[in-house]
Amino acid sequence: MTRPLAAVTCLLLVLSAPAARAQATPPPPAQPAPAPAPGAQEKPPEPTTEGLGLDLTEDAKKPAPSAVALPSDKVKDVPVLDEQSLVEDDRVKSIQRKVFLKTHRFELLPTIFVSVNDPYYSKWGGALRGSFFLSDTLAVAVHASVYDLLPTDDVRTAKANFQSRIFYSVPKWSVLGAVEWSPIYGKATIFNSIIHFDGFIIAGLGALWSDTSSTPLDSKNPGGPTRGPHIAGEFGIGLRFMTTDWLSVNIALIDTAYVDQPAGTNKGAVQNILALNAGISLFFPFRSTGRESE
Amino acid sequence: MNARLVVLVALALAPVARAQDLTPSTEAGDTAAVDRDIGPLKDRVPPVTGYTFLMARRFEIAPTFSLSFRDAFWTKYVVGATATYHFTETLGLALRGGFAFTSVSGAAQICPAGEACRSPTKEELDGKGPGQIKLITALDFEWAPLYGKISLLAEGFAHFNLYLIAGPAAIQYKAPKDANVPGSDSAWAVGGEAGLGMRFIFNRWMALRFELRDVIYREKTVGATETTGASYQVRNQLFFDIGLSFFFPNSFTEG
Repeated sequence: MTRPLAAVTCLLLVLSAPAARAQATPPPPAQPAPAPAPGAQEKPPEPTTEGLGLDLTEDAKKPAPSAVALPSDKVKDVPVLDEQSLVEDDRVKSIQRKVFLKTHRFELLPTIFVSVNDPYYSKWGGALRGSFFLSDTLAVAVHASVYDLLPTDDVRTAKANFQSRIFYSVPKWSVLGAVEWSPIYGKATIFNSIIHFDGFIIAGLGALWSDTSSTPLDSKNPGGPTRGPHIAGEFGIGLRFMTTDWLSVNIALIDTAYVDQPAGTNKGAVQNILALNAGISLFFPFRSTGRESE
Repeated sequence: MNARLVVLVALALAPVARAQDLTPSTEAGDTAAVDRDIGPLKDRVPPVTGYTFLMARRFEIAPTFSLSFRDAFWTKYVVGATATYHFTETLGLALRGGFAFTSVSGAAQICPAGEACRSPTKEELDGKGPGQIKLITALDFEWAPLYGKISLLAEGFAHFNLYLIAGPAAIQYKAPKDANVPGSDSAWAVGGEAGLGMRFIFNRWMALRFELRDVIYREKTVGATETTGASYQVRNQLFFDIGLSFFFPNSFTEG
């Protein structure tokens, strides 16, 4: 009789060991909650949003409504989970982990653009931008564009009614090196599905070739050196909506500035092409390493 | 003897089983149990959580200021207001109106014979330079398919929605007089407008809105004679709007 009891005791000790280990290593809480003061009633957290001036404290005084329709509302034993508690449980973050990661990926973006600032001559054309992302928010890019010019009806009106002499630059093509910074990342719902997007700023420096670039510097020496390309800079803002791991829709407003002396005048002037760009970009490699978190 | 042994073994295994059950729940807030009871998380939480405001069945009143751009002759500064009723979270109907103050555009140029080119005066432009808009009214259908949050440098977040508008518009403008008579007369034109807007939500009843609009209409141009009749041209007038929206009623029921 004592032998079986001893055997069972040993068995109990052996089998209890994993349980003891499991109890001895509780995972640390995501955010340790401060201990309530003795006697103080535990208050629900106030749903405020810092930094935006969103004051939702009025709601905190009311009974917290269920932000989502839960089947469990009908069951008294199951606690009601509103959005705030879900967020504070660290199970659903306000903006969840980035799904679309760009670090060490290459983006190829063909776009079409049209200028929105010149009332007399609209510039439009196509561009190709290749970017390599050094980190998720920083990229270096090469941006090449070709331009065409379309006179508007106002050219005819200005010349007919006001005898205007409109000297205009005719850009042909440009190549710029650029840096892109994407400090804004967000998500949105459309048709009850999630899309992720980021907002970026782009700035660059390069060269632009206009129709005066081939003009000789010395008019008495037509075979001599020409003006050559103009130094150009660009600055713009844009949004990138990710549709898949490797495809995104881009829109951007980019201003390209350069100094040119248009034909017919001896005055040089800063030329600005403020253009609305739209395009669809491809990412290489195709797979985003953050997709698993969705 | 054997029965006792079985009972003892069962008692010994019970805490192990409990410990194994509790391990995942302790780590992640018992997600498995909640998922089992009330469904998976993705079905319980909307794609974008925490709408700070809802628009359905609410009125929106927004005083607005609009600035025209890409103007060849006249720059317009429009003071106006927009009243919108939101039938659903995404669909609304807006009535807008605005009065335009005009100034000579920086791109305008006149080159009188024997003189250097210069910027024209208002009197020189009046009746000859198109785009002298005085009033704009429009009935816009609004579709706001996109609601989102923006993470701002990982510190805070902003709620916004994006919407499209389109609808008929009526424009009062200064039209040239017939037969090359100097000066202008007021005239109305019917056209349409389309645009893209964005609301940044401050709280449950106030938002800041930005819009880009293209107002398309047919305008009478100078040069009409009694024999040829009036001539017209289609004009695209671009506006950038900024407005402050107030929603009524100023609260709403979630869920």
